[in-house]
Amino acid sequence: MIDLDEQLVAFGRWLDTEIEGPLYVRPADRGRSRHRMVVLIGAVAASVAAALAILLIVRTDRPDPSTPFVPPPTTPVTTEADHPASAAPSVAPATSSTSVSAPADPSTTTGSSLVATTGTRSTPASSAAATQSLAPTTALARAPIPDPSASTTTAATIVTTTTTAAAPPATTAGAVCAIDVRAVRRAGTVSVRACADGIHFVTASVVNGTWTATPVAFGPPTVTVQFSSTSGTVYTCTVGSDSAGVFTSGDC
Amino acid sequence: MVDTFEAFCRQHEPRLRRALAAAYGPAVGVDACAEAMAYLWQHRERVLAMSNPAGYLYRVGQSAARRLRRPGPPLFEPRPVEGVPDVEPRLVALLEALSESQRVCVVLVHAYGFTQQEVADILGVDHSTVRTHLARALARLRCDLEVDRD
Repeated sequence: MIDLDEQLVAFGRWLDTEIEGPLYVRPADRGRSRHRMVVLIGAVAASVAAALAILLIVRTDRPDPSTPFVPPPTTPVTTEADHPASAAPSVAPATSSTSVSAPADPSTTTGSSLVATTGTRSTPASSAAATQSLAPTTALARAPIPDPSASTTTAATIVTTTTTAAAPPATTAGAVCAIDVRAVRRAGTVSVRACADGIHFVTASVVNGTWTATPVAFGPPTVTVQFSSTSGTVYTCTVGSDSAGVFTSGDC
Repeated sequence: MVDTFEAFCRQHEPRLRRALAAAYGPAVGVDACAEAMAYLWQHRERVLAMSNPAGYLYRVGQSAARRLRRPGPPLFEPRPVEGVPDVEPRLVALLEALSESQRVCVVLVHAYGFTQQEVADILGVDHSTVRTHLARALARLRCDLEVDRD
């Protein structure tokens, strides 16, 4: 014979284990599924940023079509397609074939800055450094359009605050590989997520003043929060915010 | 105002989280509760001045949950937890089969020990409505589980 009241109380206690406590640890399969989705979204965002950056580079290098094209004497930077022969009758065939080339410095190339910023794993002791590393990302949205002559920086202007968690390391028991500010809905509120133990997402929904994770410090420009993983290891994570109180990703 | 906000959250956020988890499952319920708290922070002056801010925030959470909810997996997937008695699988299925309001009433009153008036405040309904939801839900659970009335 089933005791309905007893069963309902047991159901309530189980539900409490799912929703209460400083952490909400999702089942591993659901965590992996969400992680795959985050990685996919990040990859798509990086591809779009790279495509837009290439478009900007091409457009900024295109001269005014109303003026005749005069190639530079030594290192021309335009393409044949940009300057048809009819518009530039004085172009010498031998100097008109140079195409737009990748910048010499790989750290400033398109797309790579997004992945490098959002997926980097740092040591636990580098929370302050992680906050500092956010500054370029948070400033990107409002950065002025760069000088067309400095075309290697256009990608950074396009990159938004989309964040991507790094892939969970295969053999990192107890390691937090990344912290991902999942959704910055409004100022003063941040929902953070970290993948820990290689199998679990540790999720904490954080509202100013009512942290469900253990707060260490709060207030713009940074939030520092401690997670206790399923293995009992405590991690300190720091996320940063820009002057408007909008949080972006950080590292643990 | 921040102190008021924090005091309100300490008092009402756990209840709100339990209510939304009972209605939409733990995953969506927790996220919806976070959305409601975020809304509260943004509109704290207006919301905290309301006669029933908890009920208003429950409706904010409902709207968020309906955005977050995805069809497919069941709301509740109990798994063994150390120190917690196993839950009868049929009960879980039957709870999911109840209407949202009936499920919230049953879980909050009989699983968490809320008073009917507290549930009425959160749901923003009359006390008599909660009583009706409870009676119908319990009757259905007892019938389907073949449990005799105490």
